[in-house]
Amino acid sequence: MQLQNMLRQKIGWLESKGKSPGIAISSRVRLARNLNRIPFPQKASRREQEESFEKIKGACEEIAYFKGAPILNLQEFDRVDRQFLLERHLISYEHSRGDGVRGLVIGDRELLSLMINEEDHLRLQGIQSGLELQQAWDILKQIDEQMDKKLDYAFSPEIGYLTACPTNTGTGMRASVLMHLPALVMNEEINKVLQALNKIGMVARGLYGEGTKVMGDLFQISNQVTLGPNEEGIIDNLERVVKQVIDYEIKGRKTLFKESKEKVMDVVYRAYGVLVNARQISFAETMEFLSKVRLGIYFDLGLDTKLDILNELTILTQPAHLQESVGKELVPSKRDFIRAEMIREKLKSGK
Amino acid sequence: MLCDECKKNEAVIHFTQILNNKVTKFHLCQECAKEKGVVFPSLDEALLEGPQLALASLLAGLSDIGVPYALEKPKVVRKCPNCKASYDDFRESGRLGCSECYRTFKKELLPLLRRLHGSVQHTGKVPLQKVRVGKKGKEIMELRRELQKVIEKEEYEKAAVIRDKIKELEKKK
Repeated sequence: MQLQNMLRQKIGWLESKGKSPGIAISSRVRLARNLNRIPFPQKASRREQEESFEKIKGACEEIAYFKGAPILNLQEFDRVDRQFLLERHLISYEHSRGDGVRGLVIGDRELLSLMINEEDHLRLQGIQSGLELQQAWDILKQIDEQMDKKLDYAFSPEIGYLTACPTNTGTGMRASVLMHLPALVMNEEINKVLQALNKIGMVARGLYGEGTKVMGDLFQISNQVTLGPNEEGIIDNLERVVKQVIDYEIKGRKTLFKESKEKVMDVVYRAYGVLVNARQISFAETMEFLSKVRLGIYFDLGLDTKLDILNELTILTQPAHLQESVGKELVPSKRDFIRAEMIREKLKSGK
Repeated sequence: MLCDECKKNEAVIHFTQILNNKVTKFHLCQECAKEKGVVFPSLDEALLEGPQLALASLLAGLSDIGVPYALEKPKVVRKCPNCKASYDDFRESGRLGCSECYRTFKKELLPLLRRLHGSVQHTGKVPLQKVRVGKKGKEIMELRRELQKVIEKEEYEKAAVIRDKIKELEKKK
């Protein structure tokens, strides 16, 4: 375990900033890129994986944005460290578990990062708070262009950037927004919304991306189509859809509050009560109650906390984060105890 | 039983070929079978060839005898010259081997891309360093981007003009 010092670093996208931060927690854009002719990571021999790793590392060291940025070789990190990086949304599940020569480059305040040798040679990611896809894209675009000058990207004039999986071919772009949709879950409209999203080429995933489950009413909504429309088109389209979902959610919240105010208040205060009093609490439970408290802040129910703290707790109470914070591996029951303690402290101190 | 071909060695491989409703029985010795290009498929390969052969192969596996089949011409599995991956590798893993695979398996991939994305025309960003795109390629790409824009604005007359320009340029290639 060697990533404890990262706990002291502020995550840039956790502040509740940007448009609609109460519902759209963060906006993320990622680009898949590959090096021309070098076999994609899954097919590459160890020597070829090392070759791409070194090339990309060299490029990062030369561009201004990544000056001084940590370049981690994931082989040197244990299971808890890798899980920690996954919990911070810096790497994917696949990257945290896979073997071979894999890397991660962490940009300033974790607003930009780069996975080396995940499914593709490069996976560049930009994150911002709130509904700020354009902002995330603007920064990402610049870095991509700087990397482009140093590397020979695999590209075809007809079908665009060439990726290991044809679902990413073209722009290589996946834009997503992490959304908090408790009202749509409560009024059971959520399935209708998810189905509608599917029909228009969008997809909703769980907290940690592909194949992960939904917790705390958090959904990641993203584009599926990467070939045909250009990058701006993909972002505009997603933003338009996300705004519609936000409208549905707001409408749902208003109706909920109008029709069952007592019920909503009870749910919110009970959740808050558990969080400030519990002595043992699991992560799933934490997420469930944080979701309700978040709703309480939206309804202005006079809770003595704010979105920034709830956002922070969402990250800090995850299993690997707790273990890094005490510097050793913990059994689940011990984690539940430390988690409860941390939540009480954070909520009481109000910072 | 002696081998149909050399009529000297004992036939060890017996099989029936049905081609255009004509049934032919073969009895071959090991050497002649090899010479005639009779292949022993693995189960995986056979499964991809279609149900009949798969069944043959499956039976072969069960009885441990080995039912081979002969092909009119020996089947050559096309492999990417750069990374040696075959299209079957892709079908199995869902991942291509390298950037050159897109060239090697273009015929198979284009319909798949169209199904996935509804388009096979990239209109987005282009690497700055791509000298090999050439001047004409760049022009075409710019026109395609322009085309995307006017389509979004639903200016279809303009779109038609641009489309014709692209077609003309592509013909010159």
